[in-house]
Amino acid sequence: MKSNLQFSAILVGIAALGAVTLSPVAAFAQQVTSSPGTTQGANQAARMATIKARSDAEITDRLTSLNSASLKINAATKLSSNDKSTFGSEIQTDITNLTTLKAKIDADTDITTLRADAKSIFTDFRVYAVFLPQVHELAAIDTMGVTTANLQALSAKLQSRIQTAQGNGKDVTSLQGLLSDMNTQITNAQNQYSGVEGEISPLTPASYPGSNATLQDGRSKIKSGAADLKSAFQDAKQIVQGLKALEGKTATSIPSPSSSPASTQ
Amino acid sequence: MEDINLKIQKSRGSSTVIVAIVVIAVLIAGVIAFKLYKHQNANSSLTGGSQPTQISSTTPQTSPASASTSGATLSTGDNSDASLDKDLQTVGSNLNTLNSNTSSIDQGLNQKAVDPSQ
Repeated sequence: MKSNLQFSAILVGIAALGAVTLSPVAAFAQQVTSSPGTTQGANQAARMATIKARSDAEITDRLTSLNSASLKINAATKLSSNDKSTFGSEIQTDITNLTTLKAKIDADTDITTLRADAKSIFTDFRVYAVFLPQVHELAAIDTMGVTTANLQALSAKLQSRIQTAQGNGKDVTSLQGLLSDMNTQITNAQNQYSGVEGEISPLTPASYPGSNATLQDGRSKIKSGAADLKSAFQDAKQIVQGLKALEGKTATSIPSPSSSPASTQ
Repeated sequence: MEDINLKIQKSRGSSTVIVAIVVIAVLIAGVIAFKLYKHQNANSSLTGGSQPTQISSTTPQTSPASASTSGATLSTGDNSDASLDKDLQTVGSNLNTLNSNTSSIDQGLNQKAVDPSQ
């Protein structure tokens, strides 16, 4: 009888010890792994973690691209002051709003809200679909404006040199023909790109997906114009070489652009 | 006397069992706590991070430095051979910048978006 009592006391002691030792652990386990319903809750937590990680990466990519775009817009010299100002402030607004969205996504606790926020990275901003192509096209137009101005200045210098050579009794027929073609190519380029800024500037995120056609058309005109400018550059190189040849000098090798804009069409 | 010895033996046996059970219970609790601690750490590294864990390789790369070369303008009034060569180099540099610009346009327009909410 006494032995039975002793055994019962031992069992009660073990149970009490077990309860004291394991109850916080069990409660912790329930809190971490199975709040809505064991496996389902864990799966949802993992899903949310994945969406948050992907969203963070997508936003970080866009912030990097927007900062680079900001430098390009600030460096532009041929864009209208209105476009420079508009796009410059739009970039800063997007950077601010995307940073705010990232903080919201990181703090989201509900998967439906999280999904909507993640989707808004695309729907509210259209950074890659509309905004950055716009900025890249504007940067290209700016570069074309600078190149055109430089080629026109070079053309004037070449015209002067050709006239001097003609005055010295040299045959400049072929050089004059090249200069004429050079000027035509410059004009053709201007005709291609001059209207693009006005076409693409009004595009907004809400313009998507109709914006695609406008941006594609802008790209096509920019590439055609770039090919014209490259032709003008080739004419200029030949004229310089021809002038040196007329004077009995050795032509200096001028490196060509790394690749033709036309070749990327 | 024999009865007393028997009681002492039973008492020692019971104490051993209690000690063994307590040790096992503590070990089990330790293992469970360690696993849960690891699980929680893994979760917080995924969710709590403001640090991005993945950078898309499809980001259009822009070259801030290239923008400055497009602003170059030619010297005026000097149409010597040296000046013309320099002018050709400047225009060649402009065209290289333009190539970079058109590549950025292509990259941007050809990029496929990946919805992170899926």
